[in-house]
Amino acid sequence: MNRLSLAGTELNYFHVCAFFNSRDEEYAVLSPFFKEAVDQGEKNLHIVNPEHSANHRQRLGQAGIDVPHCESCGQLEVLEWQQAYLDETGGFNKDKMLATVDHLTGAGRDAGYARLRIMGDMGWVFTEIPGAADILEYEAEVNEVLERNKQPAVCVYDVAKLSGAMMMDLLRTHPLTLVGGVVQENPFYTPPREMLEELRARKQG
Amino acid sequence: MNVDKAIATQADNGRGIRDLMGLLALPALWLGKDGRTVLQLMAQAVERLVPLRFSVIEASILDGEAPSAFIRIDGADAASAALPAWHAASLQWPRTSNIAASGSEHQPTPIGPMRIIRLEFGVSTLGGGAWFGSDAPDFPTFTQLAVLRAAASLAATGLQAARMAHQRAEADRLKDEFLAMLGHELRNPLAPIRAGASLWQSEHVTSEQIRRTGAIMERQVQHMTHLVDDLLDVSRLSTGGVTLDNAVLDLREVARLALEQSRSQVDAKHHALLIDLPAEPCPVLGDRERLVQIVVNLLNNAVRYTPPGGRITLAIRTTPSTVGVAVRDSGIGIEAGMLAKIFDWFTQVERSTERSDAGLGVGLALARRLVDLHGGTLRAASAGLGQGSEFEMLLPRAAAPAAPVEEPAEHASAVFTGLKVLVVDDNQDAGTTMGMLLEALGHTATVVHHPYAALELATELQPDVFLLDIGLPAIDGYELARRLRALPGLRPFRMVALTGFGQAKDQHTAFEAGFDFHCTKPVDIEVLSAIFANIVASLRTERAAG
Repeated sequence: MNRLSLAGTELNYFHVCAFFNSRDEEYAVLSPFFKEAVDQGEKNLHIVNPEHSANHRQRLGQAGIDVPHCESCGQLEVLEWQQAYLDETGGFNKDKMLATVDHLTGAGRDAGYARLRIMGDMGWVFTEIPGAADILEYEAEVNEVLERNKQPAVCVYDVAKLSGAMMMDLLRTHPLTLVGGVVQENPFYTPPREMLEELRARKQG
Repeated sequence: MNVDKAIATQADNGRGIRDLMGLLALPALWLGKDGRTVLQLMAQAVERLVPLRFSVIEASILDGEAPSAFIRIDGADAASAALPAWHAASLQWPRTSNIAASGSEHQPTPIGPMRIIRLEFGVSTLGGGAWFGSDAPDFPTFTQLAVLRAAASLAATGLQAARMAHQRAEADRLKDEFLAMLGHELRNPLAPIRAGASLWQSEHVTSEQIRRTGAIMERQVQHMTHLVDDLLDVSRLSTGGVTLDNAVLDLREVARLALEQSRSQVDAKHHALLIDLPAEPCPVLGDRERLVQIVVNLLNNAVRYTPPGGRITLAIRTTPSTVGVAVRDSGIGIEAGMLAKIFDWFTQVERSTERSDAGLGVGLALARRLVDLHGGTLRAASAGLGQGSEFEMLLPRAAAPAAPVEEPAEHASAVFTGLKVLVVDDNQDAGTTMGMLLEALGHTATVVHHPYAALELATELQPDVFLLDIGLPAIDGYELARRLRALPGLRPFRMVALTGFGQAKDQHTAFEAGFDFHCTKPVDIEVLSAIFANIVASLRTERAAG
């Protein structure tokens, strides 16, 4: 099996919560992860802020990835938020997104590639998008999908936008964390069922 | 303990460890955040781990700042209007319940009776803490207390880091401002000096123009010399390199000497100067030159920050144990927030864009540290902007009476003339102008630019005085001095070191090498005249004695 490493650490879980202080830090840490996929004949699927898609491609190129070639052959797919996280109404539909991830990493996965590595820029969570409040439920539930399909996904959060409460909740929904450029198994991870119960209780409270 | 309870305790402990591990990720949020945000992030995070109804966080966000507070109630920031009620309630709460508070009473709060604990951020360092409250009957459990303590400790560290980051940023800002100001301050005097030099090279320059521009250039050089002296003092004080030449002095004499030095500045801005000195002696133990420097700084500061036509008062105040000098002005005053910073290096009170007499922002900082060295205090007071200000230096009263002040030595260059001087300076311009100056003072000067030339010429010339630069090619001035002292066939002579290095160790090195006098560049003509007067007198005595 191909290597699966992030920031120098072999991944033994498939859902990573990555906190970055700047885009420079983000690409310094994630670019080798993307490049490793390309070098091993795996596929990268990146879901990015539409304002950054050109810059994203440029930074991948600077990391040594032949972006035009990878995009034309399908080894790299760069989607914008509205092409993945958001539905036709511009809102976030948790169940639809879970089904999409399940399809992409499971039955619908491109068989030509040994693995699919997903990176999602989660900046849209901090906008006024309808349904964004369901993000924690999504993050909790997607664990089961990724674990079942054995495909890795990195959720990228900008530290500057997080509240203390949001950070605690995000940590509890990811079995792996990437903080300060270090990947760690997350002892704070809360099993999805327990987390979902708590989130439901909060809603009712 | 029954099995169910044991299992529940184990689960609670496991969750506690899990929550503590989660908290450890919290500092990642703090990079680049100010202290208040750090505390807010901590308060928000801890609400996810402990069923809190409220948090009251109070701390000094910046060093020396009064504590400020914020409150979170049921997961949201409380309006600032709620602060007084919470503050009043908190005064009644016990502050010692930061150990397991099981069994403690409910305390009254604006949202009803709550069980409460108080956690300190560090009384001696940050001077703040957090109240956490909940209406849960078992609050705080052992695990909850551990989580809250960990959160408070992390926040205290984060707050400290934020403070230090702020101080670093502030120091950087002040340094940048200082460098900009230094460039400005050094450039200003250069303009008239350059203009004067150009005028002197003109074919049509008159002797009156030479006299007037000479006076201007002299003033500007004096100004630059003061700037450089201040900078050197900053360096010396920062490295503990200032030693005091202490003697028992009468502070009235110190005040008079300072007034003499500042008089021209006071007059130039048409200020009224009121002087209030007591009739009886005011003995203090101190370094005359440094104490005069302090009082001059205070007077010049008053002149600088008082609009023309203002009033400046210098008064000496005494108590049985202290003697003080107070300088009061009717100037622009100082805002309360600025009073705490005014003695920091490179700090200046905001003023108009007119910067002709701005200075470097080191005068008061220098004065404060020099007063500290004397075991005294220097305080600033002002009722606010436009209300003037007062600076008061207080020193311990000395027991012994003050020695009479030595009058400055007469240095009548017209009398003490006729010395034969060999000037050695590899900077041709510096050597040549020094030669011209000595000629103008009535001496005979020969200028060479290499130390070997001096050694070759010395026996033939038989100078009375060797005036040696220290930074010379081939051998430095110290070595040249040693070789001249060893040279046979010279009649008695004196050696004067001319150097840019003015620290005590530099003087010591010069005297060790055989120099009789040590002058720091640029040399004041009065200082040079005084040295030459001394040389004339001592050589006359020595030669008369045979």
